[in-house]
Amino acid sequence: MTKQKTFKKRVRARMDKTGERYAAARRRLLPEVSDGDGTDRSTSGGVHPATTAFRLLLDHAGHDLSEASLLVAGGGVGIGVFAFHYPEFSTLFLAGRHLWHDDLAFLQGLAERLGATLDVRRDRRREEGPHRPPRDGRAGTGRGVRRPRHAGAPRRGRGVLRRRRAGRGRRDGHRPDRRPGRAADRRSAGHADGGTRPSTADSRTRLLRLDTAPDAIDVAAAARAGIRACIDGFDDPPMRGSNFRVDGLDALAKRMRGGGEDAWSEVFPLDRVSGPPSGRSTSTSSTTAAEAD
Amino acid sequence: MRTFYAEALRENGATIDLDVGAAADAYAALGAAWSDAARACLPDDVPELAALAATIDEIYDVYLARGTDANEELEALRARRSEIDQGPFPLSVAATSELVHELADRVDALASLEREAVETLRDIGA
Repeated sequence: MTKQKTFKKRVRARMDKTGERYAAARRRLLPEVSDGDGTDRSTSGGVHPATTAFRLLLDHAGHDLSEASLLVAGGGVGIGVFAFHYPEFSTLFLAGRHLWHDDLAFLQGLAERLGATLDVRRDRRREEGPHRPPRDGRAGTGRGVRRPRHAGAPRRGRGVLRRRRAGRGRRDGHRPDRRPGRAADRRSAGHADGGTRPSTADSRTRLLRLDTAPDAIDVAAAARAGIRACIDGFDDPPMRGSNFRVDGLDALAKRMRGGGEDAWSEVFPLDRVSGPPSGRSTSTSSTTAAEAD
Repeated sequence: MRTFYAEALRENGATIDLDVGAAADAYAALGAAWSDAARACLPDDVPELAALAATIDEIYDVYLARGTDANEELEALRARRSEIDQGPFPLSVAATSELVHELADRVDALASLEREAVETLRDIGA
């Protein structure tokens, strides 16, 4: 058991006690953030980074919309199922938001449904970007900032990128995207500093500004459009392959049970579990690694 | 994300003047099922895996409560996680296979729930 109740349990306990909804109870339990003069700017307390960022932008523009409203208008949930296989390790990646692979597309879709437009500035030149994290790895956390590798952890990140560029890594049922922009992004991401995790194109620093916003936002229309976008995202995902569909879960379950080169027993070989042949310690995560959005 | 979406649908139901109750219920159930599946990956009855789950939970709690002010504590927790992570895997081949098959059943159930939830969204008629 954890030394303290998990945060989610505390949120649910508060929900039971106060009758508040999840987002409201969670917000109450998070520490307030001051801008230095003692004023609560409520910059913390969000549930999801993209919708929290947009809520703050709207707040500055004089619109008081909840993060929940923005999630619905933004398209809500989606799905992504990926297993990455490499000679030395494999990982499973699961994602759950609409347009999870493209924060900018999510935000721009949300802005469009609200009748607003975004001004987006990107840190394209990594070496000279205005918000580039320090090169010594003392970066913070969160998207847009590369995080230092944990002390003693295997240098997986750089390995992933090198192997992917060399064509030795592969993703289940998903053809490599050969569009020039994506390839360039991978090259850019490959220039990670020693000791840092890899970045992706979507992790580059972005500065968002609400360029225009209507005087009155039709929240109901935006929410309806967001629900339709959510359904479209499941029916007709923006990327090919089952990885962006619920079908990806079917394929995953099949691989977990079945044979073939993509079988779970090949991806996460059981013979490493009870004693690696080289005498090298077998990482727990090499067998059960899973990341979920 | 599913749990939050369920709450978000309920919050917006009155605004959009459509019946979102079934969809909200479906996504609440789906969120709970995903959380259960995540917990099942690191079973409580295997001490090493339970310790790993507890450490991951603690990192999450500490970061949410104090953010980067808790960097030193977080580093210590991550070191503990890394230590557990690098240890020998605690399950036998047979037990691991059994666990993976149990998880596969959960994934099948999740796929069904995901499809049902999308249908409830369609039924809203937005």
